[in-house]
Amino acid sequence: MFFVNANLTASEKVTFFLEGVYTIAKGSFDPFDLPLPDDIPADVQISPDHVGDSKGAYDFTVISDYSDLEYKTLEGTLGMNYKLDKRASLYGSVNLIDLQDDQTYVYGDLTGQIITYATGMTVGF
Amino acid sequence: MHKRILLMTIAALLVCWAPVGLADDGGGFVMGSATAGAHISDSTDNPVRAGEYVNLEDFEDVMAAMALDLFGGTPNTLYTVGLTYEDNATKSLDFSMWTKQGISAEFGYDSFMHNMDHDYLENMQAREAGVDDEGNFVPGGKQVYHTDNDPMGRYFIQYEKFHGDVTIDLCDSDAQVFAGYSEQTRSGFKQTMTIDHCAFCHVESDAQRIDQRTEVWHAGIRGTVGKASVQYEYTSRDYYDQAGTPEHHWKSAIHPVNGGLGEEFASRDIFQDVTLPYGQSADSEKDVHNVALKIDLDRAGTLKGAYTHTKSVNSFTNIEGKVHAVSAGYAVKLNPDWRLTARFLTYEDKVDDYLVDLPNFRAYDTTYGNLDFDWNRISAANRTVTQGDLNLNWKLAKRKHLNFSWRLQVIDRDAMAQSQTNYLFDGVNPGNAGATLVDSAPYANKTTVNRLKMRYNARLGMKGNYNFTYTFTNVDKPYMNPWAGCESSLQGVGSAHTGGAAEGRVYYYQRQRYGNGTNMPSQAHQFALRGSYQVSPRTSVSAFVNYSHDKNDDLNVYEYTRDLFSPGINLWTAPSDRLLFTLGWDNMWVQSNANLCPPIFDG
Repeated sequence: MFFVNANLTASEKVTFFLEGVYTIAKGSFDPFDLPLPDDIPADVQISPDHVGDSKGAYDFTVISDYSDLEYKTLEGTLGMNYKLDKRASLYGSVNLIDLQDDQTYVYGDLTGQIITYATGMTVGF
Repeated sequence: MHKRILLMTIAALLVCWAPVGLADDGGGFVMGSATAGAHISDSTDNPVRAGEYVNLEDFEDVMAAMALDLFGGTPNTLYTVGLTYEDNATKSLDFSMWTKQGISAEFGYDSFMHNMDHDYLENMQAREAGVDDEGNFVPGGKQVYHTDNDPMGRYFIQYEKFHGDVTIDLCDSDAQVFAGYSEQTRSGFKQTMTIDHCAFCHVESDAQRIDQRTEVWHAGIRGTVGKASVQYEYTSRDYYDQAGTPEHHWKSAIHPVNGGLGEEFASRDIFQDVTLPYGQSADSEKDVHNVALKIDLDRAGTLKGAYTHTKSVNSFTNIEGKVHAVSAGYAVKLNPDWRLTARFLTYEDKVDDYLVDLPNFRAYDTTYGNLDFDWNRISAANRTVTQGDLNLNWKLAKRKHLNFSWRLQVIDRDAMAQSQTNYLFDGVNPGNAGATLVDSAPYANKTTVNRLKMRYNARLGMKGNYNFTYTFTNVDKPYMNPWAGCESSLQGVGSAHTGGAAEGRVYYYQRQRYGNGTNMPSQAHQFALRGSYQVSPRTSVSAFVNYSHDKNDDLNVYEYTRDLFSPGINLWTAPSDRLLFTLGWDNMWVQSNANLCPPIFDG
């Protein structure tokens, strides 16, 4: 995770601010096999209704790939304050949340972006 | 909920307006700030995970935003008010007040939305296959499939919490009475899943309404007599789930391959061809009594003690749980360089047992079946815990300290590591007559934890500091799931897979598991190093690194390990009077292993 927070006082009236967080999250399983119990030979029918032998057609070589997770998330805000006088100021900001889903299993593709524009006025008393 | 918010708002405004009026004649004051604004949001692709805590309902509309912060008072009263409004789902209100007569009050309200994922279940789609003479896969036999009854559903929880607390000083004494109330509500919709007869063959999901409410009342009294301070507090907590439950029709139990053998497959079900609710949660009640005592022994130190009694009732099953807890502590400064702290805690948690009453296995088969698998469920919450802590702090030199601590914890559980109920066959007599029931039995009851911790911390003049901590933990018989994974033939003469033909019909349960599994270590080493340093008047840096290695080599089928490495660094710098930066990076790497013995299709 990387984060940055910056404030720039451009003039007596104008201040810029920037906040940003970038996160990379990954998860995975190692490949695995599923050996049969020692007392069951691999070439006998495991049950009367089973298609194939005891080892069957079960193939576990790709299952570990389905467990991979990888998300990249960027959340940032860029804004500005403009001081009208000693007590009052205007503000404006843009906030972006961007999630990139690079392993789209289970919940489908979760890639998405949200952008929010905000403005207003603050008065102190 | 809304009435309480309205009343709280009116009360806050009345209290605020009074001093505003008084401020005109010099009797009071008020200061703060007010913000009014607007915001608009837009999204692309799927915004649910990106905006996990964002109200997604009013996108593309211009929304009003407000904030108010007040601090004011009169000659007899001080108060603060905080109000934020971002949208209908995201808002908060806080109000605090203190009077000269010794009355203090605090009220608050918070509301936000939590968006939840939708599992499309698409990975639940597979079919058994065989291999023909030419090596090609031939689909057939059992399969796993899914049904999502709400494929377009969006799931979220609207969380709201109100709380109010009042404390009153009793006249001419050091005593206080206090009381409070809080209410949490969670509403919305969630995805609820269930499975059909044989686990994982058919997975079905639907939307379920959420309407949960938790009410907590508490009241008490505290006071000081000489050098002793005493407090008693009573807490009552009620949880209600007022939402309905989705229903699922469990199909007739017919063997998925040999459909004609319905009776055989049905013998392993306790219900079939019936519509039943699922995803149901129970209402509950909880009462807590707590008494605490603190005695100041001057130079001989400080002594603390407390007793807590808790009673919980599941209103759906009437299962009751009780907790008795006693704690004590002693702290003393042995000399200018040494300080000793000792703590003791013991508690007992006991939940009613519950008999799991099952129809006999293959009741129709009086020769090889008709076996009774009833068992008595002992709650995993049941335990008696005894714990002692010793902490010694040694001032090595000016700005250098060394700290040693030792914790001994013994956890005694009735249900620790229960085995499975099994049968042993004698190979001579059929059915019940030849099958000896082996009840579940505890593998071990007692877990003993010894934790030693050493910490060294020092200051680097006025410019920085650093500390190093090493912790070693040894656990004798950590909590585990015994005989949970891996399988072998049932023991006994003539059982299936060991040459016996007669019991071949019951091979479905004639397997027993023997592998112990856990993710709890028997030994753990933890290292932590952190420090901060002021490089210049305009730049400072702080960094940390954590490493831990856990292992459990007491298991019978594998050795569990877990390693964690987590470094990080933060930099604060002000290149000029007008520019200020904070930069940071951290990383966490975790690797662990497990022994998986998943049931696939017919177990």
